[in-house]
Amino acid sequence: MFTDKQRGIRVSQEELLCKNACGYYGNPVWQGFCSKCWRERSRPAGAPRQDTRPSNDGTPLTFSKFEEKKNSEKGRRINTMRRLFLGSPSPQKHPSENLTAMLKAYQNLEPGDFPGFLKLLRSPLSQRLQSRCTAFLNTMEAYHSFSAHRLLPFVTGSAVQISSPLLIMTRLHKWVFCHDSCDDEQKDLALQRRIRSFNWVTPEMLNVPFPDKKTGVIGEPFLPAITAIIEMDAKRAPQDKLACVSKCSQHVFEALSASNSEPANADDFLSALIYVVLKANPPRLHSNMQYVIRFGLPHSLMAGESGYYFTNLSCAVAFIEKMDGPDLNLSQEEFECYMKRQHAPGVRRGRSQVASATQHLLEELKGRQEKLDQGMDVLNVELHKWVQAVNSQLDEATMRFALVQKEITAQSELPQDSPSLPQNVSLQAGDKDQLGLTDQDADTKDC
Amino acid sequence: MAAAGGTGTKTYSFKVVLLGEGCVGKTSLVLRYCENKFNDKHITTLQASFLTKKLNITGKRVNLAIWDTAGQERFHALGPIYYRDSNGAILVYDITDEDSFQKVKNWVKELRKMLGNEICLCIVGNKIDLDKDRHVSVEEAESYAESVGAKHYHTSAKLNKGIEELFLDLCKRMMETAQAEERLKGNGASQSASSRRGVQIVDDEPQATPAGGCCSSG
Repeated sequence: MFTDKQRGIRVSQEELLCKNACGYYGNPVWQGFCSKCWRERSRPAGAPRQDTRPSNDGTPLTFSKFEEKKNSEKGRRINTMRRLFLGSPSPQKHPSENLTAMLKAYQNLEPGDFPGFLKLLRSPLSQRLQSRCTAFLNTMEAYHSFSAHRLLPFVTGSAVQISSPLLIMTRLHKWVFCHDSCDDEQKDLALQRRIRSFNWVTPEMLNVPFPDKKTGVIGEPFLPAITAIIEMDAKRAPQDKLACVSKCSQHVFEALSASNSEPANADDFLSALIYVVLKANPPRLHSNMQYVIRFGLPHSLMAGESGYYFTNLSCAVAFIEKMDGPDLNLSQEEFECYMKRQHAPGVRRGRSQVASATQHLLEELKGRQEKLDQGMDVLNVELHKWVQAVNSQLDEATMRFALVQKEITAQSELPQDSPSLPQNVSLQAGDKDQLGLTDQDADTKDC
Repeated sequence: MAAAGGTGTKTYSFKVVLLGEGCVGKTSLVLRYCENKFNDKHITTLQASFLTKKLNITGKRVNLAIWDTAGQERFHALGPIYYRDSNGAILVYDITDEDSFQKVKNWVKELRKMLGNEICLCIVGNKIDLDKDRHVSVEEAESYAESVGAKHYHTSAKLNKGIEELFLDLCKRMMETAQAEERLKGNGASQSASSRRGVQIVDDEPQATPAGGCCSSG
């Protein structure tokens, strides 16, 4: 090791030049020597930390050179760290300290810095570290199998099995969720766009048994379910994500039970779930589902009820990805029409339908009212006429009565009154008949 | 899926999917079995799409998870997602509805194509209380079931006929399959040859007719 050449972290003007004073610039990764002097020095020493790349001071800066530089910086940092922690060039003296330093060096590695890792791995210290790790793992494994299968098969075993993946996955989430190596992100966006383009889908199109307005449900009955599925993205461990799916499903069933007294069957459930997914448009849905598929334990998590709900969610997403006109009880033309005018034409059409229907109804009502008004006018006039008629008839009758009375008095004054009496009676009877007739007329007009 | 615990007390976990057209009585069938209720106002469960039943068959514990599937035509393509990893399938048709029996035939073809012979199939003619309106003959159904290596049952969810037998029988068959699989794992190649022969015999019939599955990608 060449740590004795240079202690501390400082970069001065002299240090930039080669330590051998050959005139070239030195490089910290080569302990301050230029590449040529470094190779000459390092070869007899047989140090493992030797760059296999030929020196190429004159060649232009290429990408490989850039990478090399990056790695060399890394190497310098590690050296510095080692110098700081080791202090002495003899690794045999304080093995535990050396190992700690080595561990620190590993921890300082940037994620994804594979060459740096490989370099570190080649050092003899790493080998010792590795053997220790292996021993530790073996012990853990032995302990685990011992406790899980013999000592405390019911308490510790299950607790370890349940909680340790939870802990591990919560910690690992940042690195393994939606990893760069797969195109989950694009798929997320594609799915999100597709769901957004279906904003016009109504529960009726999906045959979701939607509770009637009459039953008094205010607002969206599936709102708790929508909230639950959106929450899935915020959880870290696959278990927690699955729990969100289950919670969402339970809310769906509750909402369905409000509209139907019978237990919900799979058809209702799946339709409602599709509706919920469309309404919620959960963030990073594809990634979240892939994450659960990749890291959820297949036998304990995916087999039970939560597995069923997750399968249904997969079905819902598969359905949405392939959804077309006939699936929504629409013709292909209607479907394309909806897809082109993406800004809620369904709602607009629904509203305009309602509006036109209401207008129709109003017009009809208006017509009926006009008719009623006309009828009332006619009735008024007729009533008036009738009253007049009755009055005139009454007048006539009283007139006649007065006349008759006069006649009677006149006749009574006359000595021969007997022949005029029958004539008088017949007249009175005729009056009565006339009155009865007008009464009947008034009755019919009233009706 | 057959999870084995210790050596003495073995617990089997089976997944059974219910397949069939809408309105053939899948939900009634499974509700009758798990809750012993039919068309009852007092059904306590909120849902009838995922139900479990614990059984004890010849001293062995069996956990049955029954998955109801969406039977509407527009959901047909989603079938593979549902029946993945299932040990048994119950294919229900309505004896008064010829079409529903045709659907069952399509399902059988698809299942055999996707899952091979590992899955135990039951073809169930439901609603035998409506025997006077029967449109699917007993002989036809039974001979078809035999030709595809499935068992045929007649049930009535309304009268609670034949349902207990159906599930019990299915469980026994699934246990046999699971045990055969275990032996296969233990013994190696000599057993696999005999079981392969079984596949060939059964696979003949479904392949004779053109494949009906529209989406066999899953």
